[in-house]
Amino acid sequence: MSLSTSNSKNKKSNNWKGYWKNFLITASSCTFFIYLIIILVDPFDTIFFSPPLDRAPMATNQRFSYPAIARNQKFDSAIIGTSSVRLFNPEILNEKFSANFVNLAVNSATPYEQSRFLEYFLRFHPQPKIIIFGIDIKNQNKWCALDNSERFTEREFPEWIFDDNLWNDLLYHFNGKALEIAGRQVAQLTGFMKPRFGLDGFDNFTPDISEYDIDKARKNIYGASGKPSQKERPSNPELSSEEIENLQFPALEFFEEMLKSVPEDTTKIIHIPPRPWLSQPVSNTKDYLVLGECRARMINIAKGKPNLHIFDFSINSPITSEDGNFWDEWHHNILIAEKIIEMFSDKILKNIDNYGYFYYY
Amino acid sequence: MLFSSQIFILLFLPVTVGLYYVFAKHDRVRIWFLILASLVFYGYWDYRFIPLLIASILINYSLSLLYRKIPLKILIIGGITFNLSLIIFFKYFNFLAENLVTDYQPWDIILPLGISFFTLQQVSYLVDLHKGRVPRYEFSHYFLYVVVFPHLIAGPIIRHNELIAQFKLSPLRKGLHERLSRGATLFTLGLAKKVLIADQMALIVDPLFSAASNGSLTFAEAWLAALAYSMQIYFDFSGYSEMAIGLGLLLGLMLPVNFDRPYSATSMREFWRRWHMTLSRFLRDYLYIPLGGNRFGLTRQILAVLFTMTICGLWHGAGWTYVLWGFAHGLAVAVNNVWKKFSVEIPKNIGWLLTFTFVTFTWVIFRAENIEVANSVMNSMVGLSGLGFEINAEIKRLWLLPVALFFSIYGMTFLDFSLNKMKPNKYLASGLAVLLIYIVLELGKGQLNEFIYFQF
Repeated sequence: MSLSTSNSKNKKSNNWKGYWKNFLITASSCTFFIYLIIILVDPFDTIFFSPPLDRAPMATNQRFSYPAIARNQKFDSAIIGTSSVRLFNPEILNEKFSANFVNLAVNSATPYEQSRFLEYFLRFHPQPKIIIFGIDIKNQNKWCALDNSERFTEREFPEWIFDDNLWNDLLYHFNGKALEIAGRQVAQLTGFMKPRFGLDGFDNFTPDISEYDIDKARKNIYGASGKPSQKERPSNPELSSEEIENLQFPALEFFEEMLKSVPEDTTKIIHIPPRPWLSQPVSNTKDYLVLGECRARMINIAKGKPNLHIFDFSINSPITSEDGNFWDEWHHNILIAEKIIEMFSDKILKNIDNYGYFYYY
Repeated sequence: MLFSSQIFILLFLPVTVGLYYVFAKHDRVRIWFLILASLVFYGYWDYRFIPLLIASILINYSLSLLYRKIPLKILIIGGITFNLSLIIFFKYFNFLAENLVTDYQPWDIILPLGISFFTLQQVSYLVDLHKGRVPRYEFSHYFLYVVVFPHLIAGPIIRHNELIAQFKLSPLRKGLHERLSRGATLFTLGLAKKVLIADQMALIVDPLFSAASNGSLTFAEAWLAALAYSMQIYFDFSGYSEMAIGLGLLLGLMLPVNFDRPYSATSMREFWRRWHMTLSRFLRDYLYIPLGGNRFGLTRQILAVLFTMTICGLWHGAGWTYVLWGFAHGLAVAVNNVWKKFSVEIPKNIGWLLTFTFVTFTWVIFRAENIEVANSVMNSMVGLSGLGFEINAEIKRLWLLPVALFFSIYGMTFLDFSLNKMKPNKYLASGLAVLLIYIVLELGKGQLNEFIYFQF
């Protein structure tokens, strides 16, 4: 290293003190002002002392956007689940049930993440009117996973927002993501950008129905061939009754805890969404038996609880037998969502059965 | 604590460097403060290993005191055996047992970070003590030599006499602002290499090696995987080393250089004089030369090279891929020695091409999770799986690969720039400070990528 000595004649070309000072002042002032701007804008609406502004959900990851909506006191009811219930429009539900719904369903949310969202909503709304649980019955996955390895997805989950500590939120705001969302928040506040999601959490994420292509949908449902696979039904069950009895579904413990945490007076709707019937496992196969056992245990946990309604749409029905009702294996179209809401209200409020569309427990 | 983490850059570093200069005039306080800070730095990962680190230091230092009173060789042998036993237990026990015992269930042994580095340094200390090359050091100086945080986890591997003498120098001595400026610059540029290049290369490397585990790669994919990993490991480790040297300068300490444009080497011998230079130096002085070096004829020299390089491979990790990688490099260095012996002249550019191709090829063995995957990727590289140019894996930042390649082969090293060529330009200072804060903001976005050499 050629460290120069300080007795150089040309002070300007040897001004290391000035260099060091410039480095320190620039680094510390950048840090201070960037952090100050982020905290004042409060991109995720979580800083308790930030100035009151009309913030909106601007982060694309709902796990960051939705807690602020969940705290809003104007809501008295919530939808918890994954993208399979994101098409439930709170405005339609409000009209049917005379409630104020917020849709807190989050793309690919794991059972753990869903339980955190419910717990967070209940913290700010201890006596909710209605809670809708969208429960994906997926083979050896999510609620029916045979181990509890899937606590989070590849999308970041901000535990610091969901905990009780308001101060620790400050530690998670000095980063490029918070700065970017703060920028979007400013653009939204000044009218240059629309909120990323509705202020009640609703967002029709599917394309316009005019763009619907049944061939593409069938490929999404059944794979490249676009046709259901010709699976043969095994003559004997692939699992013995003892093996079925020994199956473990750890995520169902979350389900039980979630149900326990909701007050008895609250109306609880357990909704098992419809799926294309021919994409479901063939009877007697291991997949079929595991799925059936998971569904049975889930129903067993919920059944008989006060003010609780179970709607199982995952049956052979006019909805599930028609591929044209679905965009892919997991997502029906928005018209089906409206129909399902209609059937909820028919059954719960008017005791009208829509036979053949769902099983009710 | 990672150098490339917000807690290190925004909290640990400013507080530690700040207090270090507050205590600058009080030698004892300054030294013990830096020891304490280094233990906090180490314990932040896993505090359970602090007693092991301290015990290792105490035993080695006590042995050195005893040896001065009773100069028995057995004390040195005992000390070296103790150090090697530690590393063998924590790093190689499961590997050895798996290969010796059928149906062996691996023990749950956690590898203490930096063990490969701090044990080597203490071995060299004991050997030098035996050879009469060690002055009497104060305990606190020896302690700090082993634990000082810039080099504790992944080197550079420093000799006692390179560092301990510097502890007596006042950090406030002449050239303070120049050291701070050059140190901050080198740290920032090393960090940029790690975050903006090495971590981005992982977005090419990881999906391709993952795909290779599940099937064969195309010809193009295999070469991309190998080239991108060559860049990832170079920018990761040389970036880390530059950050370490920069941190040393912030504390008024000069650490040895570890990389000198290794991909510009025109022979394998030259490559190892430019790659992980402090490890090469250690292996040369404490293994290759004691094995005879080049003093007993060509055959003995070849055997010494092969043995040294195989141990070098094994030092990097407990796995057959590392052993094979080391052995392959040993063979290449041996061939290079034979050429040199018979004065075979190879044009520089041909020498460079052969060296770079060989190094890139063998990085595949180093990176692959097992020999089968390495074999599969190398088969694809030589066209045994066809000459397909399609890229099926989802990779990102492909555009950065040629930039990294050019920079690694022809570019000026950041070390050379920061320590020699840089002039104190205030705009450069501000620009680098903005770069540092930009990277810190990037680091806050999500999962931190550890440095590759932490696993060794």
